[in-house]
Amino acid sequence: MTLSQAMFPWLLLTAAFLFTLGALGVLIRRNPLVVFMCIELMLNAVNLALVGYSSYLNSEEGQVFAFMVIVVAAAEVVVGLGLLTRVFSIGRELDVDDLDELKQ
Amino acid sequence: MSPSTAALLAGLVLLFPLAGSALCGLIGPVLGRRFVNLAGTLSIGAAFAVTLVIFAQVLGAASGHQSTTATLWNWLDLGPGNLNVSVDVTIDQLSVLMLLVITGVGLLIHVYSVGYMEHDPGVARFFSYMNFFIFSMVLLVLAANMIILIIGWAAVALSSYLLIGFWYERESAVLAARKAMITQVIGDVALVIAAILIFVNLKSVPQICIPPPGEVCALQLQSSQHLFTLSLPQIFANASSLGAGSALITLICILLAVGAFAKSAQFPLHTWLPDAMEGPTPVSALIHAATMVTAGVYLIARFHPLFDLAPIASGMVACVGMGTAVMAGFIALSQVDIKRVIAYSTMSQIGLMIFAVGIGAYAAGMYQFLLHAFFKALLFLAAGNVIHAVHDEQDIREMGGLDSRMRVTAWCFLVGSLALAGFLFAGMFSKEDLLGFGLINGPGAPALYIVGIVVNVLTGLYAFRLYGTAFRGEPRSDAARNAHESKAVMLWPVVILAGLSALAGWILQWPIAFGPHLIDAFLNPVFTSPGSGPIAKAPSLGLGVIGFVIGVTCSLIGIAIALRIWVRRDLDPSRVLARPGLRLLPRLSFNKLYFDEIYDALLVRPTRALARGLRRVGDPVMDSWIKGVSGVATDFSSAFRTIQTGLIRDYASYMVLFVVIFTVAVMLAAGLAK
Amino acid sequence: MNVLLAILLILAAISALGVVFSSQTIYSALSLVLTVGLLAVVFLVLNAQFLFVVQLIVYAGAVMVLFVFIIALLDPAAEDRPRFLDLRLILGVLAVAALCTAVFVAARNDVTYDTSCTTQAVTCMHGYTVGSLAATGDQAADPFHTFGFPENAVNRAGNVQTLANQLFHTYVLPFEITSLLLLVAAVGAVYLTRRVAVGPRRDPQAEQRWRDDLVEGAE
Repeated sequence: MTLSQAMFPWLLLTAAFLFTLGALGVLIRRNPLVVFMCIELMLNAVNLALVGYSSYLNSEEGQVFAFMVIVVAAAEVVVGLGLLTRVFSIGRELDVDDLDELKQ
Repeated sequence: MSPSTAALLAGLVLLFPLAGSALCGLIGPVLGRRFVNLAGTLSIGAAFAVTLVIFAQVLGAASGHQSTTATLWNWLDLGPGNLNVSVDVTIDQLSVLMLLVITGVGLLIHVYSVGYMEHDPGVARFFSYMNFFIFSMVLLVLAANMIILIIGWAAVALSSYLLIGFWYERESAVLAARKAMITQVIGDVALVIAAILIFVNLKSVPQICIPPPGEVCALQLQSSQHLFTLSLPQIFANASSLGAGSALITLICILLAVGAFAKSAQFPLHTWLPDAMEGPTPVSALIHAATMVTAGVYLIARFHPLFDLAPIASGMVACVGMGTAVMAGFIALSQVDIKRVIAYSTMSQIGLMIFAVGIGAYAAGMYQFLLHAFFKALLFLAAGNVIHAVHDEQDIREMGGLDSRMRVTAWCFLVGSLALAGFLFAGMFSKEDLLGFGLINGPGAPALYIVGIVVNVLTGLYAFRLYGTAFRGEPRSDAARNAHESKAVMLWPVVILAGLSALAGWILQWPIAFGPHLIDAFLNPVFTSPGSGPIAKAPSLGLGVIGFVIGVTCSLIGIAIALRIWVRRDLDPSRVLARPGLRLLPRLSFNKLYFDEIYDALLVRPTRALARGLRRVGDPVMDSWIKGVSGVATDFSSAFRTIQTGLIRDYASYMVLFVVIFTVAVMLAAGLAK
Repeated sequence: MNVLLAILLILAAISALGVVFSSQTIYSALSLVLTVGLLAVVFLVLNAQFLFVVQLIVYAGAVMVLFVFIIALLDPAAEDRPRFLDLRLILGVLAVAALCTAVFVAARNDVTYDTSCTTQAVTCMHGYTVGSLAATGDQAADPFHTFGFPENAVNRAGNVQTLANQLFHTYVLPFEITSLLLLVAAVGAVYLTRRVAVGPRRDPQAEQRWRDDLVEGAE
């Protein structure tokens, strides 16, 4: 019932893969809800790396930071979804490319 | 009393008012007036019953074992060297005395409130606030930890704020509440700074513990772990490491005293108390006469081990107390609002208490506190009856001749006035007792004593001016002509308080009206416990008799002059006061020595002017900077406009691109370095 | 355990692909639930029991419910698949490949950590001691054998206790600040979702006003 240290690079690889996949999703998807989910995916990838390091280096601090990340993610979802409902309630399309007021 | 018993009883005293407050506030508006009256009063009655049990326990305990400190739970535990707060309660003679007054007088005033608030729609809110006040006050006196004490301290200020502004439709009530809160917060901040100073300077000293006789030192256990929890016994046991008479301990004590002054309406933080009379009269009786405003006296008495080590701070406290006593007595002479006169008399009497604890006569100060609670609550409740009878008129010039129309109230008020003036009843014992200590103790003794007997004259004057103007002579308004006696529920508390005011002093001091009394014997173990310094020397019997005779004589002089001016009306003060040097006095007194105006001119206006000036200067100066900076940024960014498509996804792409480049570069660099 | 961990990681990667490439929003959400759940089990395998529970409660419980609720409320339409040669897609795939390769190669070559950190009582990385309790005696010979050990020092006192000790002592201030963050987020959510007086939903005039306001604000 032990984990081989050889697993650790694979764990980091998965974390990196999930992170970049989330970033990719942010880039190519236009539905803001999916964009938010991809951001959650990126945060989860970071958590995976943190917990992996925590276990690997025998230090609980990685888990503490992962906990903080979860709190931040929860806050982000609350505000983000609040923003989405607001955008929706004033009659806008749910499309990231439609929100181009930054240009004006 | 074992710590577990103490914790249980203290918990019960705290729980009942809190539960009453929650019941009245949450479901009171639904269940109606009758439920609120019952719940609000019974909760305090239950707390009073538990207090009696505690009192019996303390009386029955063996000498040296009356004081019990119990930890309810550990609230904050940040490890050695950090802040640790345990919810400690202490039950000793001092806290029991306070508890008896808070719950006992509180119970009477709650019963009275049932009648007084009969027609008020906000009665549920009122009883909720009142119960919450009792809870906060009990927390304050039971606290054996400085943090908990500060919480109680702030909570009483909060309930005072809520109750002064109870009739929030009145602008003056809201302003008065705000003024009280702001003044209180000055005191709170001073207390917090004092706590921080104590914590910073004591957290790492080796903990000394002086065990009570015949007991193992419980603190020794904590000292091995170096846990400093800011608990009061711990602070007192280590007070000497702050250095007796050092600048540090003087500063701490002055900060504590500032906290006490704000709460007890002492100069220069006194201006809120007269305005606080905007609240309902039972509030004035309970909070602004009997209990909360005396919390400052309690604080100094509780922290006596620190004040014993800081003679300069104690001297300052004594001077401020006596100064306030004279000042308030002088102002009370010309006020026309019945409640404000009593408020100024409260300020003056508390000044005497503060003087007593300032000279180290703690037991005498607490004695005055006890008797003052009786007769001042009596005066306020009787005044409430009067106000009720003349349809919310508070101006004594519109009263007069009430003694034949409200016979019981008038007699009770007379008892209260005599007690206040210090003849025959309560005040005679406690006031002469503490002034007797002033003969040989305190800075520049007996200079402050001489001021004290002037206060006696003033007290007799204003007490009987009030009585004479409001109750004697002919009615001066229709409302006063048609006044009639109040209902039983508002009369009985007044009569009971009158009985207490008349008898308590005699019982406690039988058979001689000067020298040692029961309160002295009851409380002195607290103030002479191991670890605390010397207390004030009691005057010898002969000196005590002389002081007593002089004091009572001065009171009688004041009463006699007042009776001639305002009852028999054969003495006209206006001729005396028309003399050139004295012409200013009535105006000064009537305008409260212009304190409000002075504060307005010194603090409020300069602040406003500063804000206006800064705005005038700030607008152009700051704007030019900001506009300049923003202009640079605008020019700079217009160059980069072309890559700004406005699409969020494009921006994210740029970000990802550079994050990837950066990460890969770092990895490569690290790999090469290896 | 190694095999279990490998399977979990592969499954998580596959379901993460589902999050990004589903055309229906609800499928994305369901894939995300799966990913999050799998990662929770990974945490369990790594002996982070507390985070396992928190992950399930906060993500699978709260956050995902919120997502599904909003999807039901807003009912977003399915979107077109991205064009094959979308510049962003190419860039993104390249980023995935580059970063994954870099991290994996670096990890295999011991670049991502300092091996001296895990030996007994050694300070590294600017004098910072890693691990609340360093490995003892003969374990020092093989510093990495504690990876994921059930009895390793982190969990000797119990995972929750160890974390609580960190959260309420060393990191008590950040911990309190997160509570502030949550408060601000809650207030912000209430502010954003309150009823606004801009007329009925899908009001073109309101939208125009909103744009005008934004433009005015920008100028």
